[in-house]
Amino acid sequence: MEERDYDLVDALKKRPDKDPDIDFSNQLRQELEMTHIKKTKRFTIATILTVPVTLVVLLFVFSIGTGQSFHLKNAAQLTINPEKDLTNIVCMFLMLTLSLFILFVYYKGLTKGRLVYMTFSLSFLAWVGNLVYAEHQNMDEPIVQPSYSESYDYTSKQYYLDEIQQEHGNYLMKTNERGMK
Amino acid sequence: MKNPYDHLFNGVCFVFVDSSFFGLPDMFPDFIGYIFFAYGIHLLPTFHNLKRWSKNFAIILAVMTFFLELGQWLGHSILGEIGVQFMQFLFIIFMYWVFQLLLHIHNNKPIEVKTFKTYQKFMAFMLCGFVIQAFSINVDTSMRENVHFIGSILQLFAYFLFIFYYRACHKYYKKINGNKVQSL
Repeated sequence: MEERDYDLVDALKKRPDKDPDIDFSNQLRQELEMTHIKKTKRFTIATILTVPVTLVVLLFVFSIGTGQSFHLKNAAQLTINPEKDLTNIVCMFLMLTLSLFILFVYYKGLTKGRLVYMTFSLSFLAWVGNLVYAEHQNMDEPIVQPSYSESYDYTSKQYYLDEIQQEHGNYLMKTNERGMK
Repeated sequence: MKNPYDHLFNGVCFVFVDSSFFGLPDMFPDFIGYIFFAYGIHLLPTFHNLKRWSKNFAIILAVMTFFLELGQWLGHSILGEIGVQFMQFLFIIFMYWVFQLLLHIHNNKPIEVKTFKTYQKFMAFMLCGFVIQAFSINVDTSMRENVHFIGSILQLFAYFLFIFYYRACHKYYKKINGNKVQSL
């Protein structure tokens, strides 16, 4: 069998060169190129894993930075004021995702197209949304506006002021009288 | 022949530097910066439509900022910080168009790579800074100042990047002009 194989190889070597099958090679090349493109375009496991991990790490660092600890004792505190914490977390999360999206788009080096337009529109929407939200928050909490509050009694203040003024006037009159004497 | 990059750089300086942070009156008003921008874009050697658009945009922004600054000088800013932030957003869009124009001009030139890299980083930093500053309104009171500061730092980075880019452009422009003089 081995001898026969060698014979075959020799025969093949001696065979005059034919033109390569152009259609076949083109097809092969196209397939190879397609697979290459697919491989580069597909999200690898590394990216799928690293993006949420970095997000979690950033969130963790931020929560440590704000002074929240992860003890169970303090977990009870979260239930007292859950709404505010939730809004804070949502704010942070939105901010990070949006800035990461912007970084991604410009890191990819896009100069025009839908994604670049989206970065502008999303950041503008985030700004407007924040303004609207802040406006509503201030309406809900009158403590934030120090200039006016319903709980404060203006009439009593006026009364006190009048009293003080009267006392002051009396004092002035007395001093004047002493001076006259 | 005047250097258009000088005028663009002056424009960026005037828009960025704001002495009202230190309690002084704004000695480098933004609208003068936008006028510099318009003149610099006018000097750039191209006939693309982008040039016309960005020049008109610069003039519109100059008018808008003039009224905003007028309000600040007179002491009754109706919108307060909102107007300033809106102008900042418009400035980012304007810089996007300027960079598009610069990329078009520097196509197949030795400075193209530098332009592109500066565009990437500048836009990313400016937009991230803007987003962070926008979200800083709703962050907890204790963190608000810090978050706002982070946004400002990012925008300062963008400013420095533009300074480096300007230096490269300046050298490139000088080289071209030197060659022209020698050929004469």
